[in-house]
Amino acid sequence: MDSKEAQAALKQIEESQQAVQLMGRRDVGWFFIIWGFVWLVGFMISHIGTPFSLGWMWFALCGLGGGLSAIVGVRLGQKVQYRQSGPVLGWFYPAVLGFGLLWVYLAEPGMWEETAVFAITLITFATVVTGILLRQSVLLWIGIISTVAVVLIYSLLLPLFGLLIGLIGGGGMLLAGLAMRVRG
Amino acid sequence: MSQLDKLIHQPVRLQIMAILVAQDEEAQLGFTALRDTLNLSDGNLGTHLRKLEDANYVQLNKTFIARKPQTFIQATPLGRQKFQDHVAMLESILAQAGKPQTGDK
Repeated sequence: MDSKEAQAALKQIEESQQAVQLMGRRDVGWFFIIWGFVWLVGFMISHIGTPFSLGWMWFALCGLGGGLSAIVGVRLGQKVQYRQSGPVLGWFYPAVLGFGLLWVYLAEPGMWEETAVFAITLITFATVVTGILLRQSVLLWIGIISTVAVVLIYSLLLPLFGLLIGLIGGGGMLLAGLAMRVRG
Repeated sequence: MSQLDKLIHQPVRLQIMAILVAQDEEAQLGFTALRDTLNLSDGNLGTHLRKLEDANYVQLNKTFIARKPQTFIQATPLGRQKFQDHVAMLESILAQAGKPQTGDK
């Protein structure tokens, strides 16, 4: 084999690996779009104020997000499966959700922002754990950076909490998801 | 210098192995995802996978999702090792070609 053939083979390897990574990013983009939309709409309404119950609005939005995520998750499960971590995560997320609801009930937060910062950091905690389990450093860093950003906004800019989380968090996730779908 | 692995070197199988090795060790890729990524027919992909499976380079796992049969594929430790050896061999060929010949000034 000469060097040109070797170079062509290495290029083929690189292109194949990039193609499958692109497929993965495009699929994950759906989750960003779904939850970006939920956050953007939910936090903007929470910030502006609404005549109807915030609790029921969030219940409906999270139900929508959860349902759509489940559909995307089933589709992704047909593409890639994690033999050990997959079943672990399958139990981990319902456990996080269950304990989260229990802790909110026990802690009885007064302001909606307290409930929101708790729920968001619970999600970012789950993201960090998922990143560790799946050895996906991107998820790990998204979880850590999001946690720091949310805690800073909550601590320093509480009056603008809903607006900033909606625009930066929700809007950012939505744009990132669209970019992942379009550009990979 | 050892020989190139002809089983892996075939272009389609090289791409299959490249994709599978790029996955996490515990991850397995669905048949349809692999087929669509490589733009192959079911029969063509199946034929190449059978050859790789016979050599114990890949493992095929059949399961049911929503009552539909699904096949998942992952590279075995032997397959990963053979692929890494193959890549190292390709890189050494390139490196040799890049070296100045003895006597060059």
